[in-house]
Amino acid sequence: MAATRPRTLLLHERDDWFTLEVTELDSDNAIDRQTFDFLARAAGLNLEDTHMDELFPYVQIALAANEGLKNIDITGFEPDASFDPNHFYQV
Amino acid sequence: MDPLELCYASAGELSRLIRGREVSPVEVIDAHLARIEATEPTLNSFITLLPEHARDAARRAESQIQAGNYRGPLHGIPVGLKDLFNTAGVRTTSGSRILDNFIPTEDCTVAARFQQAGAILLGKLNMHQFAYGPTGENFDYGHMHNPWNPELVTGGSSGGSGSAAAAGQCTITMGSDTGGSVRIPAALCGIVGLKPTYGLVSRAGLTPLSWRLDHPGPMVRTVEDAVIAMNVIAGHDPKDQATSTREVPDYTAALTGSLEGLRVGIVREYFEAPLDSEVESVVRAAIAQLSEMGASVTEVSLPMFADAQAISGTILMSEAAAYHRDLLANDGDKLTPSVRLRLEAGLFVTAADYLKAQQARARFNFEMSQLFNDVDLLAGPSEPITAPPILAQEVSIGERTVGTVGALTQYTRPYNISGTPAISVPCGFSQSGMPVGLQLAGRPFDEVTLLRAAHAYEQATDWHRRRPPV
Repeated sequence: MAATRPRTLLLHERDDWFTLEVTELDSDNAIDRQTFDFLARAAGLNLEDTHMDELFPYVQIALAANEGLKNIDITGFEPDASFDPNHFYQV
Repeated sequence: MDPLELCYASAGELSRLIRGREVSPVEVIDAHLARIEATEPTLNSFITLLPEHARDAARRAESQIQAGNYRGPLHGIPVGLKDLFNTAGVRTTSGSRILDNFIPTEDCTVAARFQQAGAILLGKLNMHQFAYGPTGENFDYGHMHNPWNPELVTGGSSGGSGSAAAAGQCTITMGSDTGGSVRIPAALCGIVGLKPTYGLVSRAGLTPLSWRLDHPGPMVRTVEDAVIAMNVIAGHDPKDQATSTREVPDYTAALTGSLEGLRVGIVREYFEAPLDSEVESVVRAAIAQLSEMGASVTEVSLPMFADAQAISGTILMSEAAAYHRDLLANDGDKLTPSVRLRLEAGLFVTAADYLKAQQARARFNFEMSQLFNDVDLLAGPSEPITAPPILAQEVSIGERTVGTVGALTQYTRPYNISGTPAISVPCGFSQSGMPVGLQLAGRPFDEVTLLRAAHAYEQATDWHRRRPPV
């Protein structure tokens, strides 16, 4: 996703659930406004709502905070949709 | 008996008095209602208080016990439930005015099991809206206030459960824990908070936040009381497909007072993360005490600790948004703005990322399981800080400034990912008089070992006997 409005975000810009450390973060790879609008419409959100201007940077921060997922080597591990905490234990 | 002493007596102590007919449930309930009147609205622990219901139930319990029909250690004991546990005939708001008039027709399984055991519901407890926040702030029903300093947060999302137990308003409270929401307020309010193994306690009849991360658990003043609660609420429930069918032990077996032979691992990465130096000193002293009491303590490594935020954040965001999708479409503007943003952001997580987070969760859990080849328990801080001020968005830890929300969840989230049991027990106080929690974690379904260690530590200290100034 190419950024149409690149900017630098501060992870502590607002009270959010996702962030730990106050760090400057390049948001270019998170989500651009065009993609945001497309997904927001698909999700049934009202694009005319001025709230969208607040949600957009928030989504950029939230998705960027989870970018670390991309660096995790998951080779050999399948999604565990029916989660069993005992799966790897020999009890 | 002095009413205040009844309020600070443990369920274990109260049950012995009630069974011996030295105290009646009516006295116990009246004492607690007086305590609530004296401490509300300062603490704002309750969304709905049920004085008449509680008095009626107490009179019934008294009659039953006098007739020789004593039901067990919860008979006549005052409990409070986080306001996302459905209660038949009693409104259940999930901390949102949107559900101000929602009155369930059926008890959740936990409430039904408490009632069957003779426990008396005092009320429904305040919480972060829809459990989506770890501070205990609520703009619809008012913020929760820490009994040790009402200007500071209780922690959340089960903040009312934390303050009610800590201040002697209830003997046993229940919370739910998706990223730490039992253990965070337990640590910040100076009580015991147990997040049992995923699938050990039924979620049926609770408003979900994240289906694969939610864990209901007891919040109490002593480990024995956690045992008493677990002996009633743990076990398979056909209404909750995630609950395990394995046999549930009698957790009373955990109350040995001994740490002999236990191997405790200290996760190196926990002490490399932002951690207040005063909290670190208190926690290290508690770990040293575990060693002095006979546990062997070794350092272990969990490199994927750094990935916990991305893994749990992705799963949590996706599932919370999926559950609340209709609410967002119809009543999004009635949500607290920060909660609305958190929920809506989950609509933008792709299915591929959600599945990748589950794959990463599997790897995380594999690494966690390897640690337990060499140790029986993991130990560390419950929280990197003591309770911050209400509405503080950032906190300073040494020379670092960190987001409050992320800091409060940094040590608790890993065990929501692993689904393994974890408990926060009081282990000291800061110079400013705020409680510090020691977090212990064990193998899945091995609550007996976890509770054994927590109880032994508790009995060797007096932190749990201290009372807040409120």
